[in-house]
Amino acid sequence: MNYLFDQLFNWWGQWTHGTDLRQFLKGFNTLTGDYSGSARYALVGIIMIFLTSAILCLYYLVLDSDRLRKRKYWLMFLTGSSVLHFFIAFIIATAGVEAVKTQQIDVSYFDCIGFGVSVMIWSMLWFVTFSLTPYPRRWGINCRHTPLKQ
Amino acid sequence: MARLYVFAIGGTGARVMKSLTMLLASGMKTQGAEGRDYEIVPILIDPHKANADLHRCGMMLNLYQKIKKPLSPETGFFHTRLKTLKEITDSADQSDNVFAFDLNDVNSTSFRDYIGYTAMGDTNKQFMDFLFSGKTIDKDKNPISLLDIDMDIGFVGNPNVGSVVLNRIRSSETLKDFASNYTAEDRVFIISSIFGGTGAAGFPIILKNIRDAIEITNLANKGNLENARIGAVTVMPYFNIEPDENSPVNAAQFIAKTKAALNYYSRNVNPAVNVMYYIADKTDKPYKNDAGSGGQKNDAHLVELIAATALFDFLKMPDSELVNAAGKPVSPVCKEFGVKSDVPAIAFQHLGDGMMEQIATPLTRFMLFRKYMREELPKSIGNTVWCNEKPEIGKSFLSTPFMQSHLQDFFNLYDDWLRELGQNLRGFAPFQNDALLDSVVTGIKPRQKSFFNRKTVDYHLFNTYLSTQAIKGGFKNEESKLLSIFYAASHTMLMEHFDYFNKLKT
Repeated sequence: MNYLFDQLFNWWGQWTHGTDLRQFLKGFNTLTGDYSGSARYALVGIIMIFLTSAILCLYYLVLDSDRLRKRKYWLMFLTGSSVLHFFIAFIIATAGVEAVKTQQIDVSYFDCIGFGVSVMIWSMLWFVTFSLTPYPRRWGINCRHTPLKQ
Repeated sequence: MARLYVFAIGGTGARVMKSLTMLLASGMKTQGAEGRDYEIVPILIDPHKANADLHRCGMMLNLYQKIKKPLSPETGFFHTRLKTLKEITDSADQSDNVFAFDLNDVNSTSFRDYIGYTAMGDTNKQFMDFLFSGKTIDKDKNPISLLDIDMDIGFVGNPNVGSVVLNRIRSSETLKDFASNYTAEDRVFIISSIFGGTGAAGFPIILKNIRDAIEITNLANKGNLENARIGAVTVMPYFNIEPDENSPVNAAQFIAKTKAALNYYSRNVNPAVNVMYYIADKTDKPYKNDAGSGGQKNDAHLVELIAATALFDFLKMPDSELVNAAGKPVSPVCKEFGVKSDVPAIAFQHLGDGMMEQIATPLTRFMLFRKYMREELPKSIGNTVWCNEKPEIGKSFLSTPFMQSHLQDFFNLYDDWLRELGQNLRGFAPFQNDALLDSVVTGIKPRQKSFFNRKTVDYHLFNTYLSTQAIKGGFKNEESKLLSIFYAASHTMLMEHFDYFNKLKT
């Protein structure tokens, strides 16, 4: 799973975050020279899937309000979800980096922002894909045609 | 399917029929005690063709039919089928397919010519002069002898003239068509007033012709007719008219005429009717005194609405309580109506409990439907779930004849009817047209919000209920879908958010 999310979050190439951060997120331990550290790609990936799904369920099933049926409100939820994922990814990356400063790895805050952007883009794609599938959309009432129709 | 033949006689008959049409449109069901669903065959009887009330009633019945035509049987609103006598008699020949009983041969005929006065001998002429003495007016309101009355403006408050002319029903095609279709399961309901001309004359004649069917030649199903289950509502004075010394219609005579007629009814009519309903009210508000060719166009009145509900009460009575033997009811019943509170402007709460249970929910459902169509449909069309579920209701649907003319025209008549009911004395104003959705019913508020129920009764909530219904699917076409979901959604909203309607459970 760590490998899968590693591939996903680096789909865009190296510009989002550098090799050192990538190694760190994969769980590389500079002290032992192996991947015995926390699998942070998997952690962020799982959070992304569950949180995006939860936000979609909140929109389609829990709130399920006629007030929110218009596409603009769906876009607001999409934006909110993306921003939330950006911060989660950024915080996980920076917290880890702070903890291993002593391990002589070369990670900047720009790397963390880049990683946040990568996760944000994937969360958006997941949000859109999940919104286009019939379910959970069609289990709800008021927004079951959003974003396809208003 | 069993049928209920409704004879609506005169101007009051037409106005009661109009209220009945509104109740039927709101989804009140004509279901009998035996579980029979009755189809209604209205027969409007009025020689006064220019009568505005007759015209409005006929228009409303035609619109009802047009709206009902594309609908599947279970649509809630416009549930009951209305048929003309022509439709059930000869489905191939639909010419002259109208609800009005054809009294064409009295058109442009004076009463003198109708009875062949000039060909009578002197003795008969003197007898006629004695029976039909007095004055009346012609179409242009000029004073004339009663014998010279133009019958195409009605009988102008002269039941003695009406009783002669309307006797031609006995030999009419209408009576033959009615008789040939009448089965033992069917019922008859007669609507008339007792204080005018046409209704007071027509009711006993129709009743007599049905009960004495055995004596009429060339009539089918005589046995069924003789023992027909007959209900009738007779409206006693409930409005006044402006005094006009040139008019033959004089409100001061209403009570005297009613007393005389009641005396006659008690001996000859009440014993021949299975269930007789009487209703009256204070005669406060004077209507315009127009007995001429313009005809009376009276505002709708609560009494007419209440009178219309008598029909539903009659249908609910089991066959066992409406037994006839040799053309006579075994146990005829007379019923009257009273309100709970004697106030000038009646709302649902002021009606008796039984009446409130009967009409409050259907009328409110229809009101919500109408209000949504007027205020919210332009915003919702094409972008709400209930519109977009199949069959889709898009903007093009708004320009169909069903929406643009039939339903819209019916709503216009409904608006007029409600407005007139509210303005009249005694007024019936159960709705506040321009209020928000949660306060549209006069004096009735939605349930208080709680921690578990924080929903506001507004169009968003209405849309949610509409969409819930639309998702269920299974609609024959857009028209059926529209009426079905609005019926079910408005019902759910009333039951879930208004304790008042929840307690009524209708």
